[in-house]
Order: sequence, then C-alpha cells, then structure tokens
Amino acid sequence: MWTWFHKLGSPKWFYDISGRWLPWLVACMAVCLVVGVIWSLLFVPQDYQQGLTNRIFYVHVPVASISLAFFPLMAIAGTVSLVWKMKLADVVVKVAAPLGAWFTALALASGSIWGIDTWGTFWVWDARLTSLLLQFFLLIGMISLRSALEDTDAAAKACALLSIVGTINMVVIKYSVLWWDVLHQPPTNFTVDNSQPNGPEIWIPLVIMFLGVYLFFVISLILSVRNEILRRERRAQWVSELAAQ
Amino acid sequence: MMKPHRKKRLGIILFIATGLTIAIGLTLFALSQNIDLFYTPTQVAAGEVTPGDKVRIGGMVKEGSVDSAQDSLLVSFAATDYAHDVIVQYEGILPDLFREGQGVVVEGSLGAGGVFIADRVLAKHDENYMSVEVKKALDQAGASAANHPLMPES
Amino acid sequence: MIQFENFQDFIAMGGYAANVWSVYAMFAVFLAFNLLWPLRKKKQLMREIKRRQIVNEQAHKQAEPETPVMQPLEPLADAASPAGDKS
Repeated sequence: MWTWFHKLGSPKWFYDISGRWLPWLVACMAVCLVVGVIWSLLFVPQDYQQGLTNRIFYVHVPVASISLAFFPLMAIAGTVSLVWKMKLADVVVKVAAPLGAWFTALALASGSIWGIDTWGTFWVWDARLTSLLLQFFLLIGMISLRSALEDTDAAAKACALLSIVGTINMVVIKYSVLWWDVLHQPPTNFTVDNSQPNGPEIWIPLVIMFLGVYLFFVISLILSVRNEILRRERRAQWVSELAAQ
Repeated sequence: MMKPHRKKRLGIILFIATGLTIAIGLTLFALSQNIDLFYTPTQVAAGEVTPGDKVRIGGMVKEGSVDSAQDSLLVSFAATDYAHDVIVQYEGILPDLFREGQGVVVEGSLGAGGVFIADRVLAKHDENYMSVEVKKALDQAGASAANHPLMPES
Repeated sequence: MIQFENFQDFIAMGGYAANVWSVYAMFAVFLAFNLLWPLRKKKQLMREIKRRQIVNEQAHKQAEPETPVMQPLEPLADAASPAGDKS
C-alpha cells in the first residue's frame, strides 16, 4: 500500500519523471503568460474608477494568491519529511522557501505601487499588509535557518515547525480582510454576467494569468528540486552517469 | 500500516501544531478588540474616541458633502456609515480614488466641536471592477453606486 | 478590442505609466530570475560533479595502476548511500 508513497520519495524517480514533464509545462506556461500579459495590458477595459492602474491587478492578484500556497505546501512536506523521513519532502521544504520569499516580496511591492495611486499611500499597518509582511520575514527566517544549520535533522525540524506557524499566519492573511476593518479591499465575487461588475471581461485574463503564474511556480520549484537532488545525491551512481554524458 | 515510531512522531507534530494554533488563536482573539484599522462614525458618535488622540476613522464619503475651498487645498466632507456622520477637515491633495459615495479612511484627531482634523486621507477602494461602459449602463438602468447591490449573488 | 489608439497612449497608461510599467518590469525580472538562476546552478553543479569524477579517476589510477579504467568509481559508490534509496 505504501509503495507508491516511497516511490514518490525516490529522488531518482522524481528526477526522471520531472525531466519528461518539464518541456510541456514550460510550453503551457509560455503560452499562458504571453497571452495573459498582452490581454491584461492591451485589451482589459479601463476601470470606471481606477482607470488604467487596473493593469496592476493582473500581476498582483495571481502572485499574492499563490504566495499563500507556500506555507501549507511546506507544512505538509515538512510533516512528511519528519514522519516518514522522505528525502524528497525535505528538499521541497528547503527550495520552496526562497521562491516563496520572491513571491511574497513581489506581492508586497506590486500592492504598494498599486496603493500609491488608488489608496493615496504605499503602506499602512493594516492586518492584511502586516500579516503578509510577517510571512515574508518568516520565509527569510527559514532561509537563514537553513544556511546556518545546513541539511541537518535539526534544520528539518525547525523548518517544519516554522511552516506550521506560517500556515496559521496564512489563514490570518486570507481572512484578515473579512475579520477586521482594514484598508485592503475584500475578495471580489466574480460573475458570468457581462453587464454586471466583475464580469468575464475582467476575470478571463485574470484566470489566464493565474494559470501562467501557477505553472511558473511549479516549473521553478521543480528546477530547484532537481538541482538540490543532484547536489545531495552527487556521490550516487546515477548522478555520476548523468554527469558523464 | 504505519510503523509505531512514525505514528509517535506524527502524534508529536500534531500535538505541537494544535498547541500553536490554540496559542495564536487566543492571541488573535485578545487582539481582535484593537486590531481594527479604524473607528466607525458610530463609534465616534458614541464617544469612544478621545479628542486629541491620534486615530483613524473609516466610512463612506457622504454624497453632496464635499466642499473644497476656491483658493487653497482645504477640503471638508462628511464621513458616514449611514447611521452617523463625522465632519472631516483636510488640507492637502486627495488620492485619485477619493469620490463621493466611496470608502475613505482618515487619519488625524478629533478637534473641538466634534470636527475631525485629518493629516492624511486614504481612499478605500471596493472589490468591484468594471468598465466605464458597464458602469454607464448600470447607471442608466437606475442603479447608482449608492443604492444598487454591488455584490452580485453568487 | 485594443484599448489604446496609438503607441504613445499605450506607453502613457492613462497617467499611471510609472506604476504600471514598474510592476510589469518587476514581474519580468521575477520570472526571468527564478527560471534562469536554477538553470545556471544546474550547469555549475554538473561541471563540479564531472570535475570530481576526473579527480577521483586519476587518484584511483595512481593508487592501483593495473585496475581497468572502467571501474574507478566503485569505491566511491560503495561509500555513499545507494541512489533512489527508500526511507
């Protein structure tokens, strides 16, 4: 029953299968990002209030939403790595942290720039912005913990614990706009009716951008996981054979 | 199927996770009284804001209440939650999204006579995006920003 | 439908040029960096592994000149944990 699970944890198996998947993923990502960027810059109608600053929405929303996926991902992978000692899971926890920091930084920066003209300020200490900033610092903490403790058991344990804290914080980020009176707007309810606010002309390009950024997240994560596998398994026979080619 | 030592380790992790969740949850609950970014006009009317204290007030800009001076950047308007109003005075440049009928957060202090002297005015934009055409069509159908349900049923 | 009548309008972004273009520029840097950096790192890693192989082969040759060149990696592979190890 658990064989598939152990197979999934085999670094060599993952390296082989991901190598076969990568070209397809990259092709899909390129199509989505090119279509998404062109559509959102050129074709999305001006917002009745925000004018053309609504272009920022199409970068900020996908990046910020996906930045919330990192801590749950690391918490699950961290638990698997501690309980089943699966090698691949700890690799994921390690390489996800820097990528998550990039996502969070871009979410903060694009949101701030969007806020300059729409809110009249680039920063305010409201619950949404503050908790997202906390996520950034938690990720920086995980990265520095890793570089201090290297690939030891202690590092794996500390990072798994931090991911649990980060996951709780992620729930706070997500619901902060509903729980408290904050400056940041609540999530949008999209509709299929084109004569209503938030109709398809608004969300179709958003969905395409979402797909593109999601694929980018998966691809970048896979590339880093593959590198880390090569580094950790550098003395293994199959890596030597790969390098000799 | 799980080996005992793995079961034990998973148990420890779940225990710590539950503990952390409860601890953070309780902290947030304790904070929830103060974590709101701003006071509402109703809270101001109820005397919850001490005059002179630096606070934020959030509400909607009341339609027809905006009064800007001819020869300076001085502006006054009423922030409302449709139950109570607070008169706000501000001198400076307003953000692009400052509109009548739209959300606003003002930072400053309550002065004498209940007038709020703002140092900073922030526009709180809502979660609705639409083109100029859709907006015009909605307005023609008799639904102004103030009275039509902006949130579609979903 | 394209929302701009000419290229100048597109660049101007209705007066929000600085904000819109800086966000899209940061987005481009973000994408490019997080794809190209791992690729660069992989090249470095492979070069490093290859270099070590050569060093090992030569050390092995000097120690046991009669050993056929086909098996110089064996002691190293024994010392390390086997690839694809299950937990």
